[in-house]
Amino acid sequence: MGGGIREKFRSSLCISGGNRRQPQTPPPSPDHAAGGDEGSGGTEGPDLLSALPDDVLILILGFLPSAAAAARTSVLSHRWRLLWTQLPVLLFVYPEKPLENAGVVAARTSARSLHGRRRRARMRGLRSSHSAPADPLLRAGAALAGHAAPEIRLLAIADIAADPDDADAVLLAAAPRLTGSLVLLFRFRVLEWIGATDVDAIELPCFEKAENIELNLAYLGLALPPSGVFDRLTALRLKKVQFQGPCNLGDAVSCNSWHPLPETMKLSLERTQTPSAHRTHARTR
Amino acid sequence: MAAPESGDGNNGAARMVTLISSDNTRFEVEAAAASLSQTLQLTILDGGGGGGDGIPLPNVDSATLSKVLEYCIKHAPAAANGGAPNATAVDRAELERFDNEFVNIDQSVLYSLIMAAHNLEIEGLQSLVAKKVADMIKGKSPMEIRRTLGFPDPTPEEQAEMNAHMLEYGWAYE
Repeated sequence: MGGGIREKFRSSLCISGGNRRQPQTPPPSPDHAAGGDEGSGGTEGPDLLSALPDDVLILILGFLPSAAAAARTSVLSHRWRLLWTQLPVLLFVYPEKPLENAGVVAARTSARSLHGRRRRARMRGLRSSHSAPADPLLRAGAALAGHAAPEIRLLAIADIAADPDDADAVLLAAAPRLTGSLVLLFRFRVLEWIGATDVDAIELPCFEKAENIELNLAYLGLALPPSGVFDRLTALRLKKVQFQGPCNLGDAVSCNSWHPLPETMKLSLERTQTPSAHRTHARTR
Repeated sequence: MAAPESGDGNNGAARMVTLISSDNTRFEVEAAAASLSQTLQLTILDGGGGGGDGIPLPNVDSATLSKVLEYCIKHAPAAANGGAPNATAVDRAELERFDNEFVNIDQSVLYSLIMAAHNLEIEGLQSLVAKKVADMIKGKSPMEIRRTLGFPDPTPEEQAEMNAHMLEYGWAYE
């Protein structure tokens, strides 16, 4: 423990040797202080909660059941509008218990009215999905578009089924920022998408900073990146995945020969299918 | 180990430290309990807080500090076992019961507590209170959340802004 850190703790406690001081003003709240919002802090009104620093409020938001629930608090004030965007953990799970209140009818209705247009809107990508309806994957896309934290420690999406295009967009948006775990679980593959001739596989971008990836794709295809390195990956768990494309698994987790598959990495394959032309070379350890 | 009552383990007598709240109340507690605070732990390891000297905590009033220490004393034995790997189910159930009771308090106290836990870096207490506050928000409409958290009712302009905002965040509502 360095002396500098100790000094910092001392000063935060106002301990200075044997001298006791009685400062009347508390030390500045750490890190976020005023939260970067215009005039936030004292302008919140008399509610006690808003007197707490941003990182405490973010901690509280982290205990909500989903990222959507956290994002809903952004309606409270300008300051709260920014808080959820700093969450390190983003959960999108179906079915989230729906809100029963009349107060959100307007928002829900606006979402519903877009339902029919959803499939077409999907192709236009995440930028237009601000008011798109919310199955977990689409929610994740919309949330990632507004989310601003530099690091995502956990992105977990559990959906009934997935449109590969939606999944691709979400994975692409998350890949640069994900430093912890990616969990993507689907229960069914939808026949409509099986019939599609062009895109039937999810393309996994290179998650350079991810430590843990777990995918259950309900036999959707999975195309591994043709190049790129999963440098930090310590565990890869694939279930009900059909491998697509020319890249074998050993190459994907270490696409460059000078980056061999780390010996310490845990690899787990369960009920995966490989097209006969492309056998995986990696062994389950 | 022959005399569990005294608490005098192999590591010598249970060391006591004194903490002084912002309103100058002195609290004497076992160092092991106070050490649940990462911040205090450093000072205590350094030999601070013993004897006539106390550790002043100018940001924590006595009501809050006594509540914080109640938590620390209850959780100290489990923490000393390194997260209680050999705690029995009964012990864990008892701690859980204690925790539930413990946060069954006024909001203003909750906020003082989480602030103190934040400053003192008592991770378990921070999480416990944060979870409690999250539970108060969970499943509520924006208006209900506002009222629960003590926000004033919105003015018509604010209401209009809220409505517009909810439309923009439609994805979070369905």
